[in-house]
Amino acid sequence: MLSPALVILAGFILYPAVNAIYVSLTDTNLLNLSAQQFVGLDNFIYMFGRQDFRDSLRNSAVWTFGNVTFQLVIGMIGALILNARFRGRGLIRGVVLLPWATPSVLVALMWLWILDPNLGLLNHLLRAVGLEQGKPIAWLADQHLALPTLMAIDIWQGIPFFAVMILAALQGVPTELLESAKVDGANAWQTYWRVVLPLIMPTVLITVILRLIWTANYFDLILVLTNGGPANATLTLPLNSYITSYKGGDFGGGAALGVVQAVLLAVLVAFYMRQVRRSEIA
Amino acid sequence: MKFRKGALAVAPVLIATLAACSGASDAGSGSSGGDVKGTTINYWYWKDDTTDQTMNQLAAKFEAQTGIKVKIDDSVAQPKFYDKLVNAVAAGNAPDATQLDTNMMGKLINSHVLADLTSETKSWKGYDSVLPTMWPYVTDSKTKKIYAVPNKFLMFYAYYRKDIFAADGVTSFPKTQAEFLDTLKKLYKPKKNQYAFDFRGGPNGQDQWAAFLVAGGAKFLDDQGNVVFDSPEARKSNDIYLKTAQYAPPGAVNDGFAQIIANLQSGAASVIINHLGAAKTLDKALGNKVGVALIPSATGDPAQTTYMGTMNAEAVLGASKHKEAARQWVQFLASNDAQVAIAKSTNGYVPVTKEAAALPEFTQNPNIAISLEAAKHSVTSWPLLPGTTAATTKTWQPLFQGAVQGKNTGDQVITAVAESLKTGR
Repeated sequence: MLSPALVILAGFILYPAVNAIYVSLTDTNLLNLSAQQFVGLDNFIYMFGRQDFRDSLRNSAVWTFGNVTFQLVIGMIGALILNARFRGRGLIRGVVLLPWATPSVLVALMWLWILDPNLGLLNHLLRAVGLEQGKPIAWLADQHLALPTLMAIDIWQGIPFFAVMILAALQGVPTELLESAKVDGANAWQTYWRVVLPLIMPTVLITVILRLIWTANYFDLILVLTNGGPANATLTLPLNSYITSYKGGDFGGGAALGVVQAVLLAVLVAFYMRQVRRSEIA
Repeated sequence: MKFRKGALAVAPVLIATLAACSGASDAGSGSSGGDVKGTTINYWYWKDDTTDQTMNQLAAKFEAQTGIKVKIDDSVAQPKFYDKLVNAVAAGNAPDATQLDTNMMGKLINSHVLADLTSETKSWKGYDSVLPTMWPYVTDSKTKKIYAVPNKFLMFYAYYRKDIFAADGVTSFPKTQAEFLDTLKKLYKPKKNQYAFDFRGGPNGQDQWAAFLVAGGAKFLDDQGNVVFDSPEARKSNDIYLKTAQYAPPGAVNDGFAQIIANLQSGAASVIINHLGAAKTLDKALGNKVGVALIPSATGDPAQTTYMGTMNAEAVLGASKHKEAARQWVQFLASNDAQVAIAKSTNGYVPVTKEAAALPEFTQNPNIAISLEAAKHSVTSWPLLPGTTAATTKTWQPLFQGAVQGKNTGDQVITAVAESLKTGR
């Protein structure tokens, strides 16, 4: 029974993973694979010595944990609001999904023009209300603003996912428990903290871990809006891997960056697997 | 959707993996010569304007003349074109012929992906009808072998707002780079949301930068084909280019093509550097408010200046099984009639044949005339070196942006680009 699954796993996951590690130890040029040579740890040594690797590692950490933290907090608040009874709730529940449902490249192009310093809507609005009086703000071209701006866009896009997942968990909380807490004199905060949160925690944890992995791998938005710039201020590990491989033609170096990313993500995957097992036992 | 995002992140790794299964696709196989009537060839190019049908019309005409069918794939836009080609070569399903930006060619030549067209090209009856200044764009500077046929040619020059210049009392476009900097100071009026030169620090801005440095006296290679880019001339011109940033529109450090065009149209920028690709849009939007001029040089004397151009050339893949038919197609595209059609297409290009370039409809078009004027003098492009791809698409942007924002020095940009050209990293 298990054989087909094992074959698929070996073919589509194990072999590529092992081969990726092998490629990271070679000077692979996809245009001339017959010239491929084993170079040991040269790609890793070269990578660790480069400022762009250190920049991309730092940016990846800020990007991943920053985005997911804000998405979780705002998504949780959104889910609690959407779980309450109010008029038009069904419509609002549908509308909040729009950022999540919009293709990433469309989102990127839309924000590119909203954030344009000279012709963009945001600076125009800021000027109109008197909040911008000097030179226009270069949201994506200032090395201190570019990453936070990109993060704000990703947070905006990712909140609906958290809201919907947590909302589904909230709807699974038995009303008897909530009523019992009320009878016992618990206020809203105590009910949330002592009753609701423990019950939705497995869903929250799995959602957070999945989202951490997706966010760490996600670079479409950055590629379109800043291409990692200015001066590597928004360069993340997967984008660095893509640029190194395809733009630099250095597939060994790109694979080395991919391996580092994979090792870091493996820690999150281990947490995820443990959480799944716990959920199954529960 | 999320699966796709995750897949993108590990794409290089997976592609490398899949490619390892596919085996090498080195050049060398395939037949040449013989009767090619009835042959179907696969040809790839990217469209600068998605509505343009010129190439399809030329393919139909070519089929009527030769009996060779050209199956065109124009589905991938320029930014992703090279990625697709690399994957196809690795997977062993590359096209028979392809359009190539000259910046891509060095790596492909070095990896033996392109067919050597030297003897077939030199014996081709159309060889002498192509402008002689076009051949260096497709010729390996060390081996002198020809790897493509010239096709869509573009020279870099300056577009400027004549109305803004006049309003600020600037009567003529500066000829030297020192005068250029002085002029930019006069045009800089931030309170009016009017800035001077949008230098394009974002995607593909290396072309504008290099065109300015080359006009300033920088050279990529010496006569023996050695990299000599790290020179006092390059450093001096780079310093001037970086100083223009203080008069640039906000955001110029990240600007790409769309932003520099929009800024010139709105008046946020008074000067940009580009090629003919911007002409139709700017003419339509600005009419006679936009002027064109040669890029300011070190001396101000065009006769002593080298100007930079770029070319989308047509190459035959070494692994093609239909090299002869593919060669006929790429040569057909450089014939006079095809060149007239391509030059008149939606996007517009500078003709590469002498006869087409002399037609009044082109010589009287100010944008083509300025391109031909620049091309009369010494011309160059990014060299056909394996390191050019890395230098232009990986190395330049972060370091140049860093220099603009004070994170690193201007000299470090020159040193790193020269190093990338030499080493390919």
